[in-house]
Amino acid sequence: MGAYEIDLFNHNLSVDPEFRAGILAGDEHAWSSVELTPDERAALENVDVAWLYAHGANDFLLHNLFRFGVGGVTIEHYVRGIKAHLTPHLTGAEPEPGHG
Amino acid sequence: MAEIVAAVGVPHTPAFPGLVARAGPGSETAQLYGQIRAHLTEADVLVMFDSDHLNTFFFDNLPALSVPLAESAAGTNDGTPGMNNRTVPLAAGLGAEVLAGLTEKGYYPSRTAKLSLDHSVMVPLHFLDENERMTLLPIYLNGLAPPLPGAARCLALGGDVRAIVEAWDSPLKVALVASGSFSLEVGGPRIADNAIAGVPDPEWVKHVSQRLKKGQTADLVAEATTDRMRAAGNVGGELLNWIALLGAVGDRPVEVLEQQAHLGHSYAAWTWS
Repeated sequence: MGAYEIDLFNHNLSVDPEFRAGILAGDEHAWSSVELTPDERAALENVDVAWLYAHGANDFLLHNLFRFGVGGVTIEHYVRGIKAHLTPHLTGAEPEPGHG
Repeated sequence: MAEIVAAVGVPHTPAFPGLVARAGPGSETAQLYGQIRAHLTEADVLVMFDSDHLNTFFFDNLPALSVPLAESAAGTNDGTPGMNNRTVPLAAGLGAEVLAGLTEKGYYPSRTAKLSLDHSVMVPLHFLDENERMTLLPIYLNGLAPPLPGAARCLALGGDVRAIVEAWDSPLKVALVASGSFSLEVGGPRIADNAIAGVPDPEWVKHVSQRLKKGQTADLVAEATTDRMRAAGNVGGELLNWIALLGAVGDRPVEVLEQQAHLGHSYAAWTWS
C-alpha cells in the first residue's frame, strides 16, 4: 500500500457526507483531517489524476474524485489523467508496480 | 431446518436504480431483474456473496472473507443515487452459524459486529426485494484489492455455506445470491474515453456466461486466476462471488441466463428443487 492517506481521502469522500461537503466547500478542517503531504494535497486539490495514480493511489477509489465533482473535475480531465500513464512522457512519472 | 429455495446471480451497477426509474418497468434492465426476482417469491432470507467496494471496509483492516453478526445495517453508505436508503434487517443468527461453521472448516473469516452497506449489496436488494420484506446476510469476499482469494477456495466456500444454511435450525426459506460483474473497470486506465467506467473484455463476459450455461464450473475455476480476472477489469474479481455461488449450486442446471456483455455482466437463476 503506497498511498494510504490518498486512498483514505477518496474513501471518506464516498462514505462521509460531512467530509465530502467540507472538501467541496474548501473547508480547511476537512482538508486537514487527513494527513496528506503537501504534494499529495496539491495533487488532490488540482485533481491531478496522473500524479495520484503514479504515486500508488487505488484506481477504484480515485473515481470518487469525479463522482463527487472535487475541483469541478470533468470526465475529459479525469480520463486524460488516468490514461496518461500509458504515455508516461506526459506525466513525468512512471507508474508504480501493481498498476495496469 | 432452513430450506434453500433459489440461487441467483445479478450485477449491482450503481446507475441502474436511477436508470430504471427513468426508463420504466419495460426497460431491459428492469425486465432482467424482474426475471430473476420471480425466482425469489418464496424466500425469507437472502444470503449474498458480495465484494465490498472499499466502502464498508478500508485498507486499515481489509478482510479477505467477512461475515456480519449485526442485527441490522444501513445502506447505502456510498452516496449511490436513486436508492431508497434504509436500515436492512440482517440474519444475525445465521451469521453466527456461518462464522462458526466456516471457522471450524478452516476459512477463518473476520466477524463484523457493526457495518453499513454499499451499492454492491443495496442495488441487488433494491431490485430483488422490492417490498423490503426479506432479511439479509452478506458474505463478503475481497474481489477488488489483490491478493484475492483463490477461485477453488471460493468454490469450496460456497458448498460449505450451503451446508451450514441447510443445517440452520430455522423454519425460514433462504435464497443464495451472487452480486457482481465479470468484466468492469471503474476509475482505472481501461475505462472508456468518455465515461468513468468501461468493459475491457466483453469476450470474457461471453466466455464466463457460456461456462455457466454449460455447467463447466471446474473449467471456469481453473481459468479464474487473479491475473485473468484483473485483466477483465479492476473489479473483475467480483466473479469470485459467482464462483462461490456455483459451489453451493453444485450440478444443478441454470434455468435463466441473460447477458449484457457490453455492460460486463449477466443475470442467472438456477433451478433448485
